[in-house]
Amino acid sequence: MWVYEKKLQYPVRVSKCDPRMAKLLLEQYGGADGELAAALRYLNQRYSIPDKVIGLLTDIGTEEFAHLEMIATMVYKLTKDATPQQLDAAGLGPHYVAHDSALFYSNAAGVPWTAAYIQAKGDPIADLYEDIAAEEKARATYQWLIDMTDDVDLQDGLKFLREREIVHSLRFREAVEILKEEREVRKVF
Amino acid sequence: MGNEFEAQSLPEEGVPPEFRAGCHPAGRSQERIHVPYRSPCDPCPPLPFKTYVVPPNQFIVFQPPNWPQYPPEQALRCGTLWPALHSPYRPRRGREGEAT
Repeated sequence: MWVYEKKLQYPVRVSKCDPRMAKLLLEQYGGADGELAAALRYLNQRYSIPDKVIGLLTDIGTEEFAHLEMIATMVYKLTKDATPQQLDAAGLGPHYVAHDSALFYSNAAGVPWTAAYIQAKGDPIADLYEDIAAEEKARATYQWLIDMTDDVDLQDGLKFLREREIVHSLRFREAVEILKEEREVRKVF
Repeated sequence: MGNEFEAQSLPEEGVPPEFRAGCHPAGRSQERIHVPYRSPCDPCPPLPFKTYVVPPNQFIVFQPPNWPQYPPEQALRCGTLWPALHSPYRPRRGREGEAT
């Protein structure tokens, strides 16, 4: 079970009215390498991975939900006061007719999220390498998102999230090292 | 063992100093440069070079204990406790003459 803290992991500030950026941020909300995919991927892989790294998947999977909240807050702030005309001009017309200004799990191109984005192969090395790749892809996505806005406050939140991807990638690589070392196997020479 | 990408014929002038040295623990910038192939038949004028980021996690197999840490407030802002894991990102927006 989880304990919920009613605050964001890092403060989200948006200082420029830019619904176009909301559409782009959806890539990290319901995209293949987004925070939803990351959280569900890690929390699901936990059950069939060696005990030593279950806790890591729990911790990182939980943090990904905290990141999901931050992205949701950014998208919400950027769209909550937009008129249907403004949403349409930002490329969110198709989103509006299906969802009004509600958030929905789709990527920046409007493709809805699918479980086909994630995998649980049951092989610990294969699963951890998928996780490492997902973190580096998310890092790159944050870089390109930072490039797409000149709002320094929004960039600040995105830079925090990008740094977390770097830390997570290293932790998953350390998990691979733990499994490589056969620490639970008793060696007799 | 050199980096074959950097060994390419880079124009010496016009390479910003950020690429030469940096705050990376290994003493080099986290940004790398490569020059895409330029064809005489290219329709558009060539960009000087393209860049990509190699974050510090790529040089660490297993993080050793007792690394120096940021003060707590700064760590919260940076997204990591350890300066050695910090990766600043220079937005490409507004970089004159660079491939983006």
